[in-house]
Parts: sequence; structure tokens; C-alpha cells
Amino acid sequence: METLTYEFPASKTLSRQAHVGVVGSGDLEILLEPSSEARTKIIIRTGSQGFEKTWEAVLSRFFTQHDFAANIKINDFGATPGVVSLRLAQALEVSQHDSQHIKA
Amino acid sequence: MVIQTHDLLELKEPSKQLITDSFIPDWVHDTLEDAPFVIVRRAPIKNGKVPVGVRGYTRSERFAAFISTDSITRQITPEQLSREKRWSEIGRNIYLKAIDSLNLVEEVLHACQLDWGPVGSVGFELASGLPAIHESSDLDIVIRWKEGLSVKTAQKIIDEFDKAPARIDPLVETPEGAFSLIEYSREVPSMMVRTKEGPNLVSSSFLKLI
Repeated sequence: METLTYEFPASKTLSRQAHVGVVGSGDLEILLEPSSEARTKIIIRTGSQGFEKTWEAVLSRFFTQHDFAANIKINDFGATPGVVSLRLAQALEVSQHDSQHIKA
Repeated sequence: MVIQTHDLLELKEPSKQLITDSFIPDWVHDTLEDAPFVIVRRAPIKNGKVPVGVRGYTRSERFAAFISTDSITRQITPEQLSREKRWSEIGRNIYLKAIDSLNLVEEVLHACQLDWGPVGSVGFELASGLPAIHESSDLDIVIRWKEGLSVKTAQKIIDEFDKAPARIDPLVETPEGAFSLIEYSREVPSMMVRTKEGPNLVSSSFLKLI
């Protein structure tokens, strides 16, 4: 298990927390908490080693396009970059909308 | 021959059959010599060639290529492995919770009249006979989508799966793509569907279109 940490500047705040994704092969779980600080901090726990550069590329692309301040925890089970971006978009969608569907 | 994602294909002279522009690492040849099986990947068929993956000895050893259908000598579907209950023959002298969970899965899904089969390391070992399952391995399975598989049924299945010794990772395969039974059971407004063109986020009304 490897832990990776990334930080990106952010200005917009979010209203709700989000929990999306599943613990499963080729997937990941995202826990997103809104933050009042002007940055987004991402902590990734992954079983697949040696993908720091890929993570950095996927995350910087995403956070260049989407500006929001949050603390994000990712538990990765070998998700592809496409799955990572999609789950991040889904987490953002949930944290901007309705809270009744969020389940821990 | 209908070839679907997750099918295991036995190849004649497997090392010579891989079609790829990439350099083929040594471990690919070594593992294919031990077990001449490749797994059908979720990707489009290109110029009549089937997208496959080679499984290595470690998690990071995965190799993607294409093969021609002429090189296939045998096709094993996940359903075949569960129908034949091949796990009763597995002779390993360590306790494997993934194997120990198969009977429970079979019982639960049989009761729901759903077709299913093991994939991942369990499917690979059952088909090839090559040890692939570890003591910590999860049990990855595919369930074929059937009209009427409700969220309520999904919740019941997940509750039963929680009683298994291993963590069960159930993927529901539909003609339009695959989704996690766990995510479906949560009744979320949107869920991820894996298609041959990549993953999509869809609303739950997606299932009405199948």
C-alpha cells in the first residue's frame, strides 16, 4: 500500500460532503469534505505502485478545470485514469447538489 | 463464436499470437508458457482482432494486446466455471477465503435465478490451474443482467455477500456495459457504467433502456 499526497490551489467552496465509488477491482472510493482553506488536498491510498506521474497528470487536469476547496481521500483499487476523472466528477456533482442520496 | 469481456481464451503457441506495437516483456512469455490463457478485455474489436490481457504473477504485471480468433483453441466463460463448480477440485494447501466464499455466492445467486461466474484471480486459477489466488484475494464475479433485477434484490444480495469470508466484488454485465452491484444497491442518482469505449456516468434510468 502506497500513500500519495497532492495539493492544488482553490477558491470556491462546496456545500456538502460526498462519498462515491466502490471498493472493487478497477474502481476507487472517494470521500470528499468541503474545506474553508484556499486549497484542495488529496490523499491517495493505492495498492498499485509506481503511478505517481499518472496521478499527478490526472489530478492536475481535473483541478485546472474544476476549482473547489476540499479535503479528498481516495482509496484506489487499480482504477484507470478515465475512472478516476469520472469518480471525481461524480463526487463534485454530489457535493454541489442534493444530500439525501449520500450514504456512508 | 460470441466472445465477451472476461472470457478466458486458451491459445495455441500463445507467445507468437500477441498482436501489439509495444515491446513484450519477458514475464509475458514466461506466464504464457505456464498457462496459455489470455483474458478478453473491455475494449472494441479492432480490424477483427480481439482485445486481450495477459495476467502476470504480480498485480502490476498486466499486458494488453490483440489476438486473431484463429489462434483460439478453447474459450471458457465465467458461467462455465460456476456451472461446473470447478472450485471443489482446487487442491491448494493454504486456506483461501475467496474459494471458501464461492458456495455462498452460488447459493444466493441461484436463488435469485441469476447467471454468474468468477473472474479475476479466481476465474483465472479455476480455468488455467495456475495458482493465481492469494490468501488476501477478493472474489471478483460477474452477474449477467436480467430484467427485473431491482435495487431491493441487489440490497438483499449485498447483505448476503457481506457474510462471506472474502470481500465479494460483483459486476453486473449488461449488453450496454457493466456496473457495480454495490453502487446500484445504494440507489444513487448516478452510477458508473464501464463500456468498451470507456467509463460513463449514467442516471439510474439507464437500466430502463436495456
